[in-house]
Amino acid sequence: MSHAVIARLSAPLVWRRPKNMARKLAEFGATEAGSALDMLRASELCPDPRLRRIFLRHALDEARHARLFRHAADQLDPRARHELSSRAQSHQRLRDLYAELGAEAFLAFVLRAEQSGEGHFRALVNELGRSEPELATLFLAVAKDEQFHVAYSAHWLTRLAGPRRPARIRAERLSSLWLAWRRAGRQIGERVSWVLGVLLYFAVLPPFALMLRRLESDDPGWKPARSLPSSIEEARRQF
Amino acid sequence: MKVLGVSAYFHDAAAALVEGSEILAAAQEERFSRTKHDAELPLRSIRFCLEQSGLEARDLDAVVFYEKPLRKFERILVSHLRGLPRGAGQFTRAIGTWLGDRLWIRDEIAKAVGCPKDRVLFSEHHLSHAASAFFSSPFDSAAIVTVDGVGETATTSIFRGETNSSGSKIELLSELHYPHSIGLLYSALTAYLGFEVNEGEYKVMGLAAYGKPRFLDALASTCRVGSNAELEVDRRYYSWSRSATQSFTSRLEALLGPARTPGTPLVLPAAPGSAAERYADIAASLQAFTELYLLSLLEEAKCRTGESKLALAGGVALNAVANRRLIEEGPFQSLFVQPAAGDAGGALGAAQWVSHVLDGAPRAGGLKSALLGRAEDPAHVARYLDDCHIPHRRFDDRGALFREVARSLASGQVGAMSRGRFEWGPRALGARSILADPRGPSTRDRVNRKIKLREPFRPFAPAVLAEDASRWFEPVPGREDLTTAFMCSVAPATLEAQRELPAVVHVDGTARLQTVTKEGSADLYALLEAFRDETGIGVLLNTSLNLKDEPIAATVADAYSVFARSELDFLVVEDALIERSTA
Repeated sequence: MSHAVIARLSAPLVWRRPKNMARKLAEFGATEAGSALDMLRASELCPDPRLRRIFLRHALDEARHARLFRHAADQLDPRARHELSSRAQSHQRLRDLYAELGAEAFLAFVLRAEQSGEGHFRALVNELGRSEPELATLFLAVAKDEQFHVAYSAHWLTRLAGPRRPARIRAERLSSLWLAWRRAGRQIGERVSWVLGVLLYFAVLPPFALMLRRLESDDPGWKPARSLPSSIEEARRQF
Repeated sequence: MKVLGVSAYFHDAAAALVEGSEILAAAQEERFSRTKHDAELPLRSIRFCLEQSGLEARDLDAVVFYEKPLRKFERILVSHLRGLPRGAGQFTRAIGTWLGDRLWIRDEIAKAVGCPKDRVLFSEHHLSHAASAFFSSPFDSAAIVTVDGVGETATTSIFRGETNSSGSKIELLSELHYPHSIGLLYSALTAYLGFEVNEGEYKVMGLAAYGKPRFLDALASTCRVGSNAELEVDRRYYSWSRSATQSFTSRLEALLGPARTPGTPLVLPAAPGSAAERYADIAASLQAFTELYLLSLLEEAKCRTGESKLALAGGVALNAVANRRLIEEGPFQSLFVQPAAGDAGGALGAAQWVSHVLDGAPRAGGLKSALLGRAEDPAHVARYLDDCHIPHRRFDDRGALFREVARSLASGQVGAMSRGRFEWGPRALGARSILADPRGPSTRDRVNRKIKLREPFRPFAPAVLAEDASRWFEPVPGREDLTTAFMCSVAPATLEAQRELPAVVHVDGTARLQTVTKEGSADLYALLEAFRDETGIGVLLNTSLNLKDEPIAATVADAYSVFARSELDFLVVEDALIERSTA
C-alpha cells in the first residue's frame, strides 16, 4: 500500500484529535531517537573516514528530528511522551545494527528505512498541508533531510556493494518483511497472553486470594532476624 | 576469586567485576545502551567488565545475580492475589515478563556470560545493597541500613557488618516487608507530582526546597510510623500492584488535591495560591516526612546494632538532602554512602558479598574513586575527531590543557570534560561532566535552559577541592561525613559561598557538593587547582554531560553529540579541545 493511501486512510483516526496526534508525534520522536543512536554508534564503528563523517551528520539530523517531534507532541499533549506504548519505547533503543549487519547490509537497511520515511512524511505533507500547516512544514523539513539520507545511502551502497547491490536490497526487503511478520506475531502473542492472563486472574485466582486473605496478614512490624546464605551451595538457590 | 555481579530486570541494570578486594570494573548498562535506567540483562556492561580486566568468561569463578528471583516472583503473585480484583492489567504484564525470561534467569545469565550454569549464584536484594555499602566503606564494623522500594519482600533492612582477623560477615537483624515501604511511598508521590518514577525523585528533592511542609500531617495520616520505626502504609491511599507508574488512589487526590499532569509547566518560585505552590508544598512535606522517618529508622538501627558507624544503601540513600540531616541529627558518628546506592549498586554488592563473605577474601580499605567505567583510547578519539572533520586542538601537556580550560571557564564559558574512565553511579564526578564558573548569577539559568534543556528550578552541584571545602560549605561538627566524595549529601553554603557562588547554591541555601581529592579524580582535581590559580576559587559548577532524559555520555561520539546539540562553548575529550567558535 502506498504512503499516500496510508496517510489518507489514517488521517481521520490519527490527525484529527490532538491527543492522537501527540501520541503519533511522540512515536515519531521515539523512532528518530533510536535511529540517532544507531547512526551515532555506526559513526564510531565504521572504519571509513568519509562514511563515519556522514553517519555522524545523519545521527545529528535524526536527533534534531526527535527533538522537533517531541516538542510538537508536548505542545499538543504533554502526557503523550510519558505514555508511549512498549512497542514505541522499543524503537528508541540502540540496536547496534552496524555491528550486527556490517557496512553493506547496514547501508541497505538505512536506504530502505529512509526511503520509507521520506515517502511517509511527504504523504503527510500532502494530507495535512491545509488542516495542519505547522505540522506539514515540520514533516517537509524532515522529508528533505530524509531525501539526503536516501541519496547518500544509495550512493555508498553502490560504491561498497558494487554488483552485490541488488542482492543486498532484496535481502533487506526480505529481512524487513520477516521482521514485520515477527512483530505481528509478537503483537498477536501479546494480545493472546493478555486475554489468558485476564482469564487466569478472574477465573482461577479468586479462591486462592480468599484463602490467602484468611491465612496471612501483611503485618507492618519488624520481621525477626533470619540467617542469610552462608555457602556457595546456598547461594546457588534462586529462592 | 574472580566474581562478576549482575543486576537487571527492574531498573538500572549493571555489572561489576571483583577480584579479591579489588573492583576491576563496574558500569551501568544505560551508559552503553543509551537507554536511561535500562533494565535489560546488561550484556554490554558484562562484555566491558571482561574486556577491561583482560579476562574471559571461563576465567570467572562465579557470576552472581543480585537477588533471589523465585522469592520475588512469589511476592509478586501474592501481592496480586491480595489486590484482586484491582490490578488485572499489571498482573498480565508481570506474568508475561516473568514467564518470558525472568524465571529462566540462570540460563539467561549463563548464556549471556558464556559460563557453566553451576557458576551462577544468587544473592538477596537487600543483602547486595548492604554488602555494596559495607565493603565499599572504610569501616571494620558498622550498622548497615538499606532502604528502597522493594526487593524480594523486604523494603527496609537493618544489618550489622564486621571484618576481623577471621574474615567478614554480614548479619541481618531485622527487616520490614512489602507493602510497607518509604521508597514506594516516595515514588508514588513522585508520580503524583507529575514526574517519572525512578527518575523524577531528584526533581522532587529540588522542588521541595521551594515549598513549606504544610501537608506533613496529611501525609502522616496515609502512612503510620510506629515508635520503633515500624511503617504502615494505608492502602486506601496507595496501591502498589495496580500500576507501576501511578500507584496512588483517588483518595490521595481527595486528600492532597488533583495530581499534576506530567509535562505541564511548573513556574517557580510559585505564586501564592497557585497549583505550583501546592505541588512544591507537597514535595516539601514528602521530603520532611522521609527525613523524619529515616531519623527514627536510624535510632532503631543504633539501638539494635550498638554501632557508631553507619553504611547506608538502597535507592532512598541517594536522597542527598535527607543524608545531610541524618549526619547532623542522627545517632551515628560516621556515615558512608556508596556512589551507586540504587539497584545498579546491587551488582557490585553481590560480587563483594561472594568475594568477602563466601570466599573469605581480605578487605583493603574502602572505595576511593568511583571512576570504574570504560575509558576511551586517546588514539581512537583523535582518529574519530580527524575523520569527522571536527576542528580541535590537541594538548600533549595536561597542565596546559587544564590552564586553557580554566581560563575559558573563568571568562564565563560553559564547557564539558570527557576524560578517563567514566563514573560508577548516577552522578557525574568529573569524568563526564559539564563544568562552569559558579560565580556567575546567570550561569545556572543558562545551563538549565540552553545547555541541559531541563526544568529551570533544578539546582546544580559544586565540585570543590577537598582542602577548600570548609571555606565554602559548612561541615558537620564532630561527625565524619563520608558522603561528599561521591556527591551523596548536601551542605549549607557559608555566607561567603552564598555571596560568591550563586550558581551552585540552591534556593534553600544548600548545595550538593562533591569534595574532590587527587585520589578520587586526578583530572578534576588538577582542573580545580588550575581554576583556583586563575580565580582564587577552587570550586566549579559540575553537572552531568547529557541532555534532558538521556544517560550520561560514555564515548567520544556521545560527548560530541551533546556538544553539537547544545550551546556548550567547548568540549574536552581526552587531550583534545573542541571549541564552539571553530567547530
